[in-house]
Amino acid sequence: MIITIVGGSGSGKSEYAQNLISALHESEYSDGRKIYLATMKCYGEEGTRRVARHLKLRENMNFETIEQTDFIDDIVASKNDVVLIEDMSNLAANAMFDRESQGATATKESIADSTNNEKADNEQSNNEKAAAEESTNEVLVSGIIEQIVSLNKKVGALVIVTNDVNRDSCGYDELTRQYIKNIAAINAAVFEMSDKVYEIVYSIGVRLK
Amino acid sequence: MSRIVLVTGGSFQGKTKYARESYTDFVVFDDFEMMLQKYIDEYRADCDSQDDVEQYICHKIDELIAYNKSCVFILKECGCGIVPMDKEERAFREICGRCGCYIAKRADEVVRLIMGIPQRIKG
Repeated sequence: MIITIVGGSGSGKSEYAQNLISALHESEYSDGRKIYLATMKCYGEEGTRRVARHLKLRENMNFETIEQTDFIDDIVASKNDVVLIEDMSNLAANAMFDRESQGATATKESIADSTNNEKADNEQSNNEKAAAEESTNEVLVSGIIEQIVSLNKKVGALVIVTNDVNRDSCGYDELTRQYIKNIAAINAAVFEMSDKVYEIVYSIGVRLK
Repeated sequence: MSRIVLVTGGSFQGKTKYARESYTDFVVFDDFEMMLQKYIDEYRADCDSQDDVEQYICHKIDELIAYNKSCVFILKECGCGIVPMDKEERAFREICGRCGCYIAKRADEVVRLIMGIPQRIKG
């Protein structure tokens, strides 16, 4: 079973998700573990503050925390366990921007190669690069969806926290636009396979599915 | 009997029009996110801790509610986008979120506007 919680920053979605999974754990899965799957890579003072805030929020709630920033279906869990994934947008960012740094190296190499070639060849290589990037993103999106499907098969119930990143200014660079597009595709697929979806608006849960 | 209402939604969704038409004898705090910014600015002089700022603003909200019989807070639904590059902006939308949650908890009614359509989500 999958329950998905979506909302903006600071909307109270974490608290909502924690209460929801705790109720589920108590009522149906009290023999199993209540796992908090933390996906964020912690950077700098703000990251530390964020982690501290989340730790305080789930203090005394008896969560078992597992830090897994990618390949979340690798965790050891059973059908008795419930898992809270916090959160999807960090998972996507980790996969995308790790791959991006590898991609940047490849781009430099291809630029070095292309300086030796004719201009026509250069254009062709740019087209190929664009096509390759598109397929890289498709692979990334389907890879994350597969991780969720596979984790869901292992565990009793999955509560997924995800972000609403599609409702503001459109003046972003190409990489950020691609990130927004990837998140939208992942969210749509996750909503599709979810049994319940709640949108959190200033701490209030609005049932979408 | 006094009532507290929160009207929220994205930019230009009809929040003000809805609030003015539906709550005629209420005190209306329009663009409450501007008030939040004002509170942040006046507090920043003393301290920089975000948790303290949030607490300070929640206290201000309590005061507004105590002084006014029935009131409507119109607060933009922030945070539904990419996390901003600018540190102050990031802090602002988080404070806006936390304080919005606080108003929603205290409110008797919460209405969210989507393209002019009111969706009652509390009360």
